[in-house]
Amino acid sequence: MYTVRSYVRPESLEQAITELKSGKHNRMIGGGVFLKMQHRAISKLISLDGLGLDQITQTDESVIIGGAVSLRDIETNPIILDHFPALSYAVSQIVGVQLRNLAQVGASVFSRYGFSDIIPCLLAADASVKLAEAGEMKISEFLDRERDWDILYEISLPKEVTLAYDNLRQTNGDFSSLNLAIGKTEDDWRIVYGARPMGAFLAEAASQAAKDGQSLEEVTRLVQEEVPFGTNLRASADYRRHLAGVLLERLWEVQ
Amino acid sequence: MITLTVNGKVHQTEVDTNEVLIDTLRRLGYKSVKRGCETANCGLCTVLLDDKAILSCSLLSLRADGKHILTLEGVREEAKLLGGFLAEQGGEQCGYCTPGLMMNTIAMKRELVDPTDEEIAHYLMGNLCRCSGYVSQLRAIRQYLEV
Repeated sequence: MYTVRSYVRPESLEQAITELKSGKHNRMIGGGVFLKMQHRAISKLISLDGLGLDQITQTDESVIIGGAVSLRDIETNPIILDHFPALSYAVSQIVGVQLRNLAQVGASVFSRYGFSDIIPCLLAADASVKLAEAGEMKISEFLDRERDWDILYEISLPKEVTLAYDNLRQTNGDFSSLNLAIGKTEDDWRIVYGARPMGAFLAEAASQAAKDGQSLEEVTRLVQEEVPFGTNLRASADYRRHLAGVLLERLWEVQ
Repeated sequence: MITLTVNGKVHQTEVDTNEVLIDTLRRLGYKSVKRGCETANCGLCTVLLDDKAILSCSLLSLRADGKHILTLEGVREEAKLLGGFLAEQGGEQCGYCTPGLMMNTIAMKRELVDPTDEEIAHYLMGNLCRCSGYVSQLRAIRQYLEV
C-alpha cells in the first residue's frame, strides 16, 4: 500500500495538471486498485472525481469514453455494447465486478500496463486519446511517447471499426497469458497482440497480408515471424507464439 | 472530517489520509467487513457504495465522503434468508468469505434479472472461497435468486 500526505480533488483539468506538476512525488489516482499494490510515498494524490469525466457519449463518427469511466461501466454501457461489444467483453474478463466498479479507464490506459486488455483493443480500433497538456493524438503515438506528467482524460473510438477480441487466461480473473484484438474497416485490418507479456504490438505485415486477402496460414506465419513474444510466470515465448495462431484462428472464424 | 451514511445512519468522522474504507467501517463498528488479501482480489471486503459493489480495501475513505454505504449489518433480513440457504446446501464452511459473497450476491440480485449460472459465476468471479468448490454456494444462490 502507498502512503499519501494529502489528497486533492481539483475542480478543473487545468487545476489538476497544475497540482500534478507541483511536486515530483505527486501522482494521479484512478480507481487506485493497482496503485495500492505499490509501496510508494506520495506527496499529493490527485483524482478526477467530480469533473464529469465519467460519461460515455457518441457522435455520428465516434464513441467517446471519459477518463474517469469505470471498467464496469464500459462492460455494461449500451453504446459500447452496440458499437464495440468486443471491448465490453475484454474488460469483463478483468478480476471481478467490485474491482471493475472502482478501476478507471483513463488511469489504466495512461499506465500502459503490459498486461492490459484494453490497450490492444484501442490500438486495433485506431482510437485516439486526449491528454490535458499534449492534446489529442492516436493511441499508437501515445504508446510511443516517453512517460511524462500529463493526464489522459478522454478516449475516442471510430465507429467505422468492427472490433474483435479474444484472450487466454490460466484461470478466470487472472491476467491474460496472451490477448489479441483485431480492428477491421472496409479497407483495413489491424491485428494487435497484447500481454506478450510486453505491451500491445501492431503486427503490420500480417495486417497488410490479411487486408490483401491472404490465407489464415500465411497471416499466422507472418504474425509468428514479426511479433516479439517473451517469457514470464504465465507463459513461455514459444507457447505464446503458438497461442498467437490459436487466437487468430478463433477470431478469423468469427469474421 | 468526512460524512459517511452507513446503512442509513450518518457518521461524521476524522480519517487519516492513508485510511481505506474497510478500516473506517470497522472502526465505526461494522465488523462484518473482512480483509482476506492485500491484492484487491478476494472480494471479502465488498460493500455497496452508492448501490455499487466495491472493494472497501482499495478505496481511500476520503473518496467516500458524502456517499451512502451498505454493509451486511444493513441487510439483516436478506442476509438471514441467503445465509439459511448457504447453510442448508453446505455452502457455509469456515464462513470467513461469506459477508463479501453475500454483499456481492445482493448487488447482483439488484442488478441482474433471472441470471443464468454462467452470468452468476461471472458476477461472482471476484469472490474467492478457499473451502468450497463454489458448487454448493451456487445452489444456495439460485434458491435465493429464485432462478
